[in-house]
Amino acid sequence: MGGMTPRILVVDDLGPARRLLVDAILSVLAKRGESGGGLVETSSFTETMVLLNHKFDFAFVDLHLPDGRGWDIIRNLKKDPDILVAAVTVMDDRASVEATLAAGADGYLIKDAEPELLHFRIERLMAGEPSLSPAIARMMLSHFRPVHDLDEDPLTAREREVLSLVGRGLRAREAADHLEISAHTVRDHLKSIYRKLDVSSRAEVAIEAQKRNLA
Amino acid sequence: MPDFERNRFWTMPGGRLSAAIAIGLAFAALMIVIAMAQPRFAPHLEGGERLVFNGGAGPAIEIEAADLAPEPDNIDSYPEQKHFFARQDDFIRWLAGDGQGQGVAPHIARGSEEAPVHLAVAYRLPFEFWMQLGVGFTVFTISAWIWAVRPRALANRLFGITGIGLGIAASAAAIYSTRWLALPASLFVPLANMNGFGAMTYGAAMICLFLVYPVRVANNRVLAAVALVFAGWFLLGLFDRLGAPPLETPLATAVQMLLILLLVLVQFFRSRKSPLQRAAIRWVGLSTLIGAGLFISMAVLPVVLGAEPLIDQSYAFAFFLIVHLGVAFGLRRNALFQTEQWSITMLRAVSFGFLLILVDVLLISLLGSIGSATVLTFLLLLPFFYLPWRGFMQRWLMGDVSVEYLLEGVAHIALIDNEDERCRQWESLFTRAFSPLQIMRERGVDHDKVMIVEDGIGLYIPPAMGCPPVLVRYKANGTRLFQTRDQQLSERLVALASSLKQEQDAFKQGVKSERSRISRDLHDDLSARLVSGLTLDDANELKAVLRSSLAEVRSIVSAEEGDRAKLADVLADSRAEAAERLEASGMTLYWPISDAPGWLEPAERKTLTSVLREIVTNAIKHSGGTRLSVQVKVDEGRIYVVSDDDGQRFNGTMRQGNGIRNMSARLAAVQGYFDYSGRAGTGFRVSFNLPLARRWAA
Repeated sequence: MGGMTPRILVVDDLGPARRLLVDAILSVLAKRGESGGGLVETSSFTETMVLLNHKFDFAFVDLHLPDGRGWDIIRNLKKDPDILVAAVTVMDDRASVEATLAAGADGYLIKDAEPELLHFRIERLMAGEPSLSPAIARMMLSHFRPVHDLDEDPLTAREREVLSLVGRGLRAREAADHLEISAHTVRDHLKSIYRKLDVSSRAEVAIEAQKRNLA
Repeated sequence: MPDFERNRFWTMPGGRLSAAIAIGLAFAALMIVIAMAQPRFAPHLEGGERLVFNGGAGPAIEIEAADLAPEPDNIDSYPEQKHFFARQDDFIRWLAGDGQGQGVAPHIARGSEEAPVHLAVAYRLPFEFWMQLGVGFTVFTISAWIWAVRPRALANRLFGITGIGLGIAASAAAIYSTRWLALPASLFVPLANMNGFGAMTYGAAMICLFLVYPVRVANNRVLAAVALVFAGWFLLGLFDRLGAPPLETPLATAVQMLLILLLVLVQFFRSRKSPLQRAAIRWVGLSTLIGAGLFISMAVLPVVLGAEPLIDQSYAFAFFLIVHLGVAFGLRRNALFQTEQWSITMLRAVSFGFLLILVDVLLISLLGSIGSATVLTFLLLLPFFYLPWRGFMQRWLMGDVSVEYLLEGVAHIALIDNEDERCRQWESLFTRAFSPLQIMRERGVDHDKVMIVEDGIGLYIPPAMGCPPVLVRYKANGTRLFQTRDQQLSERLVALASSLKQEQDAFKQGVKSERSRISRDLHDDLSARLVSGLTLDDANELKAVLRSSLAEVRSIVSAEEGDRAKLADVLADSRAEAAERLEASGMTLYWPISDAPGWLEPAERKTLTSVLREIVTNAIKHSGGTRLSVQVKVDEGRIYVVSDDDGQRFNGTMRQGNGIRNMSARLAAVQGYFDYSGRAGTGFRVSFNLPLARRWAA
């Protein structure tokens, strides 16, 4: 991947916060040996909307914009199956981040997190590692609860095990250790689970997440 | 104790009513027996035909139209009336044997043709008989009911008398007006006199009633005078001293009805300042105007003017049923306040009355016995009386503001913060609902139920939404009384208002406690951190303080105060967060997952999450180690947590801003335990425990 120039969209209305984020992204890119030349910054919903027909590899979208909801931008971006999107927030509670994740974001960043954590998360996202919170894993488990027939269970037994371990707070790597499989396999399982959450079930999970956390 | 029992039976309204109904039934039975005993044969006799009884041995008798007249009072002169009764006796004699069964059958002559008629005995009494008897009995029963409720009240007594009068009049008329051809004069004359007596009594009692009810406009001497005048009138008529039969009962009845109408108008005028009495006269008066007015215009006036009645007397009695039902409801109102709800019943009753007339019209047109002019008259009269009446009823019934609108109003009012404004609107809601003349705040009174007071003039509204109790008086601008219906509506409004207010209060209480939590947290947690930042010169350390302060703000803002949460879920979330943060910092986490049954209340949940987060922060920032271990144990309704790092950096003394004091305070606030220990160079240990939710909910 060295030497590539990924197209990156950064949406944040606050200049300094955006600066912080862009710096973190650039340093991760530098670490990966990639160029930051394809990075586009916008500071409003409106400004972003006109860019949506462009193709991006990664997007970092602040959830709270003065003229619209970051959520809607994320949903629009995710029409492109190849893009990886992170929801960005500063003061927001975990609940709405989780709802955003369930609705389709691939990860989330908290701007004021320790620099190490911020870098860590950007790296993971760019590596294509799905970020799955325990709460969402638990919701997926209950969403995919086999109702009638075990044969119709959309999840495999192994996927169910992975979800259950993530739901109990284990990292993907820890779950891999626990199941005595490779971390890579666990990631594949997680990606597969994500795929099984089609658009409508995602919306349901999102609504469920909001209900549970925001009510 | 038999005397006591008997007395009690008579003193109970039900006992009195039962006795009265028994008497009424006995009387009706007697009338039925008398009617059944009279000769009655199959061919229906009609006025337009000539019937010739052409018996062999006896003399032939030709039936004239006058012989079939239902009411002897309507015959123009005394000689003609005498002739009528004499011919009635002739027919009876002929039927009893002189002409009957002697060979030659009777003939009906239509023009020049004569056809033999077979006289078959008819056992069934005609519909008109049953209708008049039924009206008489119903009217009598209603009166008895009203009388039985308050037997000592003059109005109720007079009303009782009207029922007796009409019962007698209708029952007597039932027999003779539906006779087949003839009754013996020895029966006919007494029955006709009974009818006159009953009608006279009814009218006189009605006049007396409206002299005292609802407003007394005359003393008892006037009442006695009224009774005397009509008694004299009746006696003079009884001995044929009035010049002509129509001047007896028909004229007296016409006069009485006019007087009644006049008195109703007087009562309506006199009761204008008293809603209670106005409410009473409204129904009574209206039904009297309609019933008596119809009777006069259709049955009496034509006779007095020397014409045929527009309606058969049999059906004219139905008009009195209208009057009686109306009067009954008016009188009954004093006991029940249900008049207006009864208006539906009333409407039905009136409709029934009209239905009878319609049936009559139908019968008449089917039988073709009366000219089409009468039918036309009915068709003209019905809309003339019915349509105004219906419009009136509609306004009466539909005049109210819709309930949904009022309930919605309550919902809006409950949201008004300013108490004065809220109470003003709360009171104006009742103005919209009832259009009262007066709304007063009832300080000092403290009932918690909606009550009808002052015999329906007022409606008491208990305190609601922080507003004082209210007395609403003079419904519909003083024209109506409060009904149970109004009470029920108000109860709904008050109940809704109270529950909305409670929710509002609970919400405000929640906001208040949330605000005090935020201010407490801001003060205790955030300001402590920020102040500690003031002492720092190193930019990186300052950044760390700012960062932890932001995290603190986030946790204060997002504190998931709400439902209790599963302990296992809370631990899982904390564990995942810790693992990620440590991994990002290049440290490893040793935190074996174990069973953690039980639930956490919101405050404990927040404490557990923050303390675990703080431990991780400390490990990353201050330990300088590579590994953090967390061990969790749940036992006897508490959770016990011990964390160890393998850092070398701890030098045995606390530094400001590392959150130890914070954790200690947080745990103290939820009845938890907190301790730390550490020696320089061997890592740092934090141990704490806190209580789980008392009952484990499923």
